Amino acid sequence: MVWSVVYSICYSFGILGFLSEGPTLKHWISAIGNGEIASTTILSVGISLQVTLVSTAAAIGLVLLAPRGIESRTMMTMVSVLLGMPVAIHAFVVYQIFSGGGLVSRALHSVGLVGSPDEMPAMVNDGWSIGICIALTASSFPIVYLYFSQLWATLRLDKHCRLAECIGATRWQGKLRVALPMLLRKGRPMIAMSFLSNLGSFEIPLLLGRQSPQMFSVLTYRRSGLYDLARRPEAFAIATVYFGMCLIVLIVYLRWREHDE
Amino acid sequence: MNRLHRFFALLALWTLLAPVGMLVSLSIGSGWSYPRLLPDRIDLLPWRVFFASRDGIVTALLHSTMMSLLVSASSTLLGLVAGRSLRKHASLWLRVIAYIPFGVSPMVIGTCLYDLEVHLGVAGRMMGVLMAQFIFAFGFSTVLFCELWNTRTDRLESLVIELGGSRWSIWRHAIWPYAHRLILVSLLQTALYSWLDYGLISVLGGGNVPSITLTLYSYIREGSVNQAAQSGLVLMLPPVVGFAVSMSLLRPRHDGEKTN
Repeated sequence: MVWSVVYSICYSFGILGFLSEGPTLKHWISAIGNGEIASTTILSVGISLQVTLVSTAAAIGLVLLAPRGIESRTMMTMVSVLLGMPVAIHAFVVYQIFSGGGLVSRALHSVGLVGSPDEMPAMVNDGWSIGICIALTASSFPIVYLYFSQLWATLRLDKHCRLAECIGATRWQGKLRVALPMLLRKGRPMIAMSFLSNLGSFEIPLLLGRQSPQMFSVLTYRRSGLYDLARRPEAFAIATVYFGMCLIVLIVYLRWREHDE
Repeated sequence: MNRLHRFFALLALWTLLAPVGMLVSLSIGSGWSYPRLLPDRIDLLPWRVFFASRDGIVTALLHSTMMSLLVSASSTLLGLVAGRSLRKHASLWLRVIAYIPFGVSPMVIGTCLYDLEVHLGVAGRMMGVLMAQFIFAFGFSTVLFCELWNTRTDRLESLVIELGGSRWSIWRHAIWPYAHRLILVSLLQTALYSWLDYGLISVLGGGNVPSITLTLYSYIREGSVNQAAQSGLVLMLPPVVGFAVSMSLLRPRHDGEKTN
């Protein structure tokens, strides 16, 4: 692991590598200069933030609505199905549902709203990354939901809510003003982790994204493909930026956890 | 009121499960021309092809299974020991390194590891893929077991020592009863990690190491919708069962000792 990080830093500065000509900044300058690093960072962080926000809100909402929902056998089966669904399948399914020739378009066709696949507004491989966001949200939701359900039980929020009700709060006041802040505070590390895993997602943006801009993993993969050795260091410059962000989030995560313990 | 809540919760999950229904319906037919909602013909063709052909998919399945077993056994064993020492040396940097596999994209790491494996002569071979998968799975299990060791296990251990127990009996009587569920979870999760891995195997395997994920991707690229749906279901089955098992093992127990 450490080797990967060090190697990517060295490679990006031209210290190592097949065609290395000694330490240089030119790969960084070219990667920053053509705007690739900036656009990739903005895209990845934007998508990841949005997905983390939506899946956390949905998970917490569901937990607040039905705190013990997870204990029913049907619910557990359903969550395991979603959890067990590989990300590639999420991407595939979203593609088959939302693409021009997908299920939604077919359903709209049958009620006469869409005439042909071209008339369907682009939702995959699109400029707003709608498809990526849907697929990523679906794939990160179950684990976040599971975590917050566990947290509800571990923190014994049932008892806290009942206590709040005893001293005069309504049912929802208890949930929103006692349970919600506790869930958010104790769940911070999980939210950071979820952000991080969305940031590095690969399969979903690979299948549902556009040629440019691309997310970190996809861009690193494409740049490091051995077609153009001269541009390979740029892949490692991007990887270094990515590692830097991961490092910051990981440190925040661990600090939060230590703080909570 | 409570019934209404339950209804909405179930409704939300059913909507999320609809895709599975679509996968199943696609996998039992052939063709899917535009305005039709169901496949053109319901003839079970993808499944018949799957059970008839003995070469491609079966090899991929065997490879995936073997790699999962190897990765999960080795990483769980070593993670158990490493998690113990990680708790004793609780420096921040060591922890950051241990947590890397949780957050950092295997794709990016795999790209960086590729050159190392070229030098070691294992790139494009099964050994190389196994090494990389092991690094990640080892990280998972180390962190998982790191949570296991706490003051309670320490006290149990010292109790066994005070009662005159040997090193072996510490593991047998103090740690095993406490850890066996977690060991099972770790075995399952690391096996699933290897089973579902696409990033590492496609970068480091270089196309020479067959796996069920690679088969799925080639179907998706070719645009064979029905075959892709069918191999997707095959790929999904073990994880779904695995997660169901590990979820019931890690079910919230109301004794307040599960810290997460």
